[in-house]
Amino acid sequence: MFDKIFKLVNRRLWLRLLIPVSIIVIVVVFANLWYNISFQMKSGETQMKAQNKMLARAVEGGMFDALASGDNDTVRTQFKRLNEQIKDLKVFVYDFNSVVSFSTDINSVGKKMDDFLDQDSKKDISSMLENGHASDQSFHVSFAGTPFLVENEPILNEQRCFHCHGSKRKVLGGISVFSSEMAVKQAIADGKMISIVIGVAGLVVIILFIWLFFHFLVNKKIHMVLAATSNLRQKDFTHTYDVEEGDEINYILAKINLVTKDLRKMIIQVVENSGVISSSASELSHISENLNTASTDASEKATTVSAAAEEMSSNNQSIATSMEQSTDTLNAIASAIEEMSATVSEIAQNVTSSKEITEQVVEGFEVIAQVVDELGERANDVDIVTDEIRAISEQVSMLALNAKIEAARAGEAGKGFAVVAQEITELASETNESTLQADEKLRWIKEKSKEVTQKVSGLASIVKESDEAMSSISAAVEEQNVTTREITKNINDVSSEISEVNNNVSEGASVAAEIAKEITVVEEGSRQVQESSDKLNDNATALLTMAENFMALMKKFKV
Amino acid sequence: MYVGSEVCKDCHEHEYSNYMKYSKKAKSFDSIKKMEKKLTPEEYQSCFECHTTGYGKKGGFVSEEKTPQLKDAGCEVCHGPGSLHAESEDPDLITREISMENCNTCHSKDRIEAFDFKPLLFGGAH
Repeated sequence: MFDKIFKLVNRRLWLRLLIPVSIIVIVVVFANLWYNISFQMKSGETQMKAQNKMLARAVEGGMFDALASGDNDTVRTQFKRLNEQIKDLKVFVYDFNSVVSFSTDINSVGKKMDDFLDQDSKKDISSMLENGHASDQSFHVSFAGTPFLVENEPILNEQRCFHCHGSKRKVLGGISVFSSEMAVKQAIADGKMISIVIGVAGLVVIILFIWLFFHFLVNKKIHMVLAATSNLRQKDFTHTYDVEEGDEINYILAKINLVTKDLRKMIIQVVENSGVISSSASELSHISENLNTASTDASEKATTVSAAAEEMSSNNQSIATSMEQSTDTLNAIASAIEEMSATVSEIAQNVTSSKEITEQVVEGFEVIAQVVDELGERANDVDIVTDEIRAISEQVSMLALNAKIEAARAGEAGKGFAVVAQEITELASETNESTLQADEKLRWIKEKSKEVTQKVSGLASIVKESDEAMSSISAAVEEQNVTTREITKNINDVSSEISEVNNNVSEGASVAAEIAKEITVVEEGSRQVQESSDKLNDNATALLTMAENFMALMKKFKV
Repeated sequence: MYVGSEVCKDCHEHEYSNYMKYSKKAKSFDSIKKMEKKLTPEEYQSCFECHTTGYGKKGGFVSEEKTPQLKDAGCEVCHGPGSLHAESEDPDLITREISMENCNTCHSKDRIEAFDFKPLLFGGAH
């Protein structure tokens, strides 16, 4: 029940306004009513107190003369008539012992006031009889269900009283006037009822006014505002509302028109932009996929390059090792060639010695010129030997040539050159042996020359020719020696070049290792690029989804 | 000696009747009697001078019990003790000419101002 009322109030603006206004009106009416009643009660009470006080003094004054002459009966008669004429009034005159002397209530005469007063009134009268001062307090007592307002007045012992009462007492007694409050209370109750009726009527008028005001001036426009906001709620921005007058609600409608117009433009712009965003997100997603593929390829290729670099480094190490071995081989060749050169030098010396011997032979031939003829026959043998020597020399020359060629080729071919050099050595040895044989034959010839001196002269020319041949051999050997030194030099140069190449290869190996290391960094970079491109791809996909969702959302708006 | 107003009745019936009917003095003791309970004995006795006859004087009021014939302010308050006059019926033995000065004892100036206690020279019986 309360929920329904609460919901109804919440849904009706005029009720929400009416309730506080009604509360205010009720509060004001009741405050005014309370004030009026209080004022009326206070005013009535004040008036009654004043009236009671005046009445008390009038009674006192009225009975004075009679009492002064001892005419108590007249006073009693006055009180009796007073009781008959004013039913709502009770007057009590009592002495300093609060014993009633005269009263409109004849039954109370001779009784103490305490018998029909409450405690507060008793205290007030007692105090008043003691000090001669009545309090300003109002006292209310009830007689037979009728409320009375009590006013107490002291009867002071004045000069005029001394004759009868003496002068010792300050207070002779008191007068209490009881006025019925029924009339005042009835008037206040009537006023209260009238005020309530006026307040309720005013409240009804206010409710009616508020309802009429809202019904004819506010609700209609509020319904327009509700329709406008409902259209906005339904994402319909195609409506424009007529604004007639310039009150606050029409101002709101005008503002709604402006907002609708702005939102319409904005949504159109947003739809267009969301399409662009969607397209860009799609393109970005595609780019990120390509970047991912490229980074994957780069990573794979970096891995391949790294492996190749490592392999190249390993190969370079092998080359360096091979080059070192080649250097060692060349050094061995150079040593062999140097050894061969020494051999050739020795051959040259031997050839020189042979030439000297040949000269001695010539001299011997000259000595034994007479047996030269005889030795002429043997000279052919010597000639053969020299021919063999020449042939050997030629072979040595050829071998030297071959050695030069092989040395130029270097590498494993150097080993063959060693064989050739060995053969050269052996050939030189054979040459030496042949030379020795020639010497033996020549010595045999010399022995025989004695017999064939005459025949030696013929051989002398042959020996000279042999000398010339020896010179040629010597020149050839010298040339061979020079060639050998050049070969040695060239081999050394080759060895040096190989060392340099070896260094370069080693450096290349280091570079390859460095490349392999750097490629690892490149590979890590490619992997990070791949991860980033994955994230980029995810973000682009999410952005694309958002853009598509946003586009779908924006398409719900009617513009 | 005071004899009380009742003694005067036989010879002055008309005056006595008027006195009893119209003069407040005839009931003056009732006035103080009403006040007896509200006054001290001394205060109460102080009333006797004016509310009785011959209080404090020879043959005057002593008390309500002893001299009940004198408890009001009777004829002798103004005319003086009447025993000789009553016995001899001699007019010269009673005060016949009375002036206001005779009244001033009770009807003093203060009392007249206080509660209009004016004397009536010929009030009541006369």
